[in-house]
Amino acid sequence: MADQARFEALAMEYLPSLYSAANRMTHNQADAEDLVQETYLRAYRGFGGFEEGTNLKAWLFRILTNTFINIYRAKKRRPEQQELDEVGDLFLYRRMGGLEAAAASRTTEDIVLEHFTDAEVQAAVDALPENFRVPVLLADVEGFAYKEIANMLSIPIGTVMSRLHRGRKALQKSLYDYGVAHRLTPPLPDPVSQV
Amino acid sequence: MNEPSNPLNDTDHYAITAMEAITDVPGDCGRMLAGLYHFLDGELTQERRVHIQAHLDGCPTCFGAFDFEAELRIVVRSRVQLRVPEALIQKIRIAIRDEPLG
Repeated sequence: MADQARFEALAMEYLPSLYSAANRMTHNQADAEDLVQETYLRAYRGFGGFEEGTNLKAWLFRILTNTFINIYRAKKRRPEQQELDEVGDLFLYRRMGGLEAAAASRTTEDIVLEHFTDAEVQAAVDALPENFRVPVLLADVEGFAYKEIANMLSIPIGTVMSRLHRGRKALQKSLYDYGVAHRLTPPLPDPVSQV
Repeated sequence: MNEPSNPLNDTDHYAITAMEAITDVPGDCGRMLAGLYHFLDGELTQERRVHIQAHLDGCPTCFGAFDFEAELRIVVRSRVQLRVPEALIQKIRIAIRDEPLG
């Protein structure tokens, strides 16, 4: 009982992070809920082996990614191991005009923010192939170190770095396609209102 | 550049020129881009980090690019955060309470 209360007190804090990541991994809320619940059950069963003082969030994410890879992804016919198109460096920054003109009295963050809705960013992330999407989520959203990501995904650090490098560029292209370009393109005239 | 032009990018020409300066000109600016993500990821040696920081302090062109990448990351992070359904929180608590601890 004491262990159960302690597990809940320590581990439930990370539920929003795990749940948000699970949604981007599975592309589906019902699957994400199952994945997160299974992750917590596995973590609870293994909690005896968790070393006090080590990074609980990293440990939970390792269980999440392993559960996703082994159980959820196994249901699919073939794992996603796609390649990406070549995208130039600073793709989005170039497309957004270097932000020079707009920078007068507003912060860069405000300017970037107003270009994207939640749904657009989520769609842009979801559009990445899984082998790039998961490392980018772990690094850019969750802030894990290369070494921690290598450990979670059981891949070499060099592979983490190259997937991050290419995945981030692809994400910028995807953000451009889902957000910026969408906004820059005038809507098609509504045939009804033209009558 | 073989970039598709679009009507709203009055500043595009300036930006691309500025970025070409980063990527194509030899010297410190040319080396900044290679360290950009390692810098933002906090994965550089102290020496290299200090070197890049000193360059950024004196180079608005490189600073603009680094600042954009850093802010973009903050925006992505905030845009993918979801509220956890109350029912899921309860389901997990109940599942844990029903589970004997191994």
